[in-house]
Amino acid sequence: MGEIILQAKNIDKSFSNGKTKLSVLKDFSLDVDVGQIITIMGQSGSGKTTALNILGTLDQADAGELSINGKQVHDMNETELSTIRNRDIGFVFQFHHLLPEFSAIENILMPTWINGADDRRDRALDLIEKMGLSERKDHFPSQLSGGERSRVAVARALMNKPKLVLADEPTGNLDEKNANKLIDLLGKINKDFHQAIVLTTHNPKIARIGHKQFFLENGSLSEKA
Amino acid sequence: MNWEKKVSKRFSESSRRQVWFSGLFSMIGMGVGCFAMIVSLSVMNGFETLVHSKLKGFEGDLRVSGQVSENEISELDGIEIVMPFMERRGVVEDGNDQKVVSLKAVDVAKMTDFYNFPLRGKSPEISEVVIGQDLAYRLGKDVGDEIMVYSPIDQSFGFGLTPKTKMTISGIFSTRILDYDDRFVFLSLHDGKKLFKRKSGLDGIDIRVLKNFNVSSLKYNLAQKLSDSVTIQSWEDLNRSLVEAMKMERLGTIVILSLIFLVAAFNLAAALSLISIQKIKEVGILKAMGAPIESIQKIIIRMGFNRAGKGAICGFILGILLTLVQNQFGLIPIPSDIYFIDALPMVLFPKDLYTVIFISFMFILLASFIAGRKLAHTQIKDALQWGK
Repeated sequence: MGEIILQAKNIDKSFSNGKTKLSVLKDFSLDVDVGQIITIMGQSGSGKTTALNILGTLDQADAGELSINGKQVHDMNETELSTIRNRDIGFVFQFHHLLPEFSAIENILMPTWINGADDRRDRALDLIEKMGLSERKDHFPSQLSGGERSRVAVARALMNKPKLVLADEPTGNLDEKNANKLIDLLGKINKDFHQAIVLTTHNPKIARIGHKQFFLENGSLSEKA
Repeated sequence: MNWEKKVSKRFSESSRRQVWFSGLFSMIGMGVGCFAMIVSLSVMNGFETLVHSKLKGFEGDLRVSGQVSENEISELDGIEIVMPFMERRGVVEDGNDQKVVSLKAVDVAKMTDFYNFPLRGKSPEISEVVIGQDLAYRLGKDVGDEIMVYSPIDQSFGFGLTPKTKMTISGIFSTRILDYDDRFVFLSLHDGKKLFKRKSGLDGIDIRVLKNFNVSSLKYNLAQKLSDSVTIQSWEDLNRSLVEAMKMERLGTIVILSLIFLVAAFNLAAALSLISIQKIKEVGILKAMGAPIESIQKIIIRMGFNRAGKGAICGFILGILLTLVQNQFGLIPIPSDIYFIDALPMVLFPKDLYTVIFISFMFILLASFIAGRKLAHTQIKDALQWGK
């Protein structure tokens, strides 16, 4: 067993609309080793995004424990959580969530700007080249195709060399060709940079990329045999 | 470039079209506020400076009250001229017309050098007085006319009658300060000693300090040198109520004109709130990348300064320019027969500029902080789902 980068234990999460309470995650537990790809499959509405939001500290669990890079998230204040999100986690969202006011290269550089690190333009250019977007680096998100935006989002997630990348249905909005291209890219990143990846999808073909594959059903996680 | 600055600049540029109207109003509001405050304060300063110079011209910079000799004071550094005086409540009379006045006996040889006011006629000699123009008007007298002068406190007589001295009006002065033109009557020390029989000596000495010499340090030196029985007062001490009234007036002006800033601040907060709603998702993205709450707050505050700050700077510059132009060319006239000057006096002190900068800064900061606070604390997952 390798070094654990993320450990979630008995996470519960429910949403309430005042009258009724909907339990989304029940006893959700997951260990992610450094360099491991984990895929979580599930139907729409099964709680994949909620699970990833909690694992990425974008949302809080009702109960359970979460540690990232050996640090207990529960005890952290908002500033410490911001630091964890900036340094230890990279996010790839289904809808890319690029900043429309910034060019591709600026979007990729943004995590390092927030980090206060020296200008890492060389690394950003290197990443954008690896994504095959050198010609599009100064284009704004509105000038990029869906596949290109996804790749920019991946490059942005990798910019601060996080140990963990959380990808929430990154292929959800892509055609098959672009989806395969992105999955190949994630596989290559995992090999080259040895980053752990937790990826949610409802597509079994994409889920095969995972070293471990899980199903999320009725709020509970079960590993594929 | 600082990343928060970069983000606020891009956010401002991208939202300019949508909220330009409200942003424009906050910009204009801040500009008008700065301009109005600078102009008002400089006009107040102008008149205050005028009043100060007139008061100092009448009373000098310092007054030493009590038994003190002229020689004791004249030795000290920083003194331009001294004026020994005796002062009493007295009465001037013309037939049945009687007026209560302040009789001020002074060293008439120094009178024109010490007192800085327009004088029609000449300084008084023996059995002569100089009166103010309002008193002259009320008595219907002019230079060369005679009046009766007496000091009831000093000259009680049998049967309740008071001896009166006939004196000639040698000059009429005009200060336009408070009721001075109606109240003061100048006469020679020689006549003063005769009129004020119960006084054993001088009441005090008025001192005019050399230009650019520190009045406070001279006051301190006098206190060190003279005995404790004498009182040393500056012209501010002598006119405490007037000085306090002017301070209150200044404070009132600042408070009232700050309301312009308040309205502009509401506009700014509204404009920034609109931008905040437009940028919720982007803020969620930044927070997901690790941007702390303080940075989001800074971005909104920078946007506030980017908008309203420009207006404030314009108003600030225009206000200073108007003051400079007015001082140079006297564009705004005022009646010289009332104010002795023919153009509106405008004087700007650095502390007033700091005050205006501080007030505008605080209002922009407050409005931006309030508008950005909610946005900065928005939950990331809610922000990312905004508009879905």
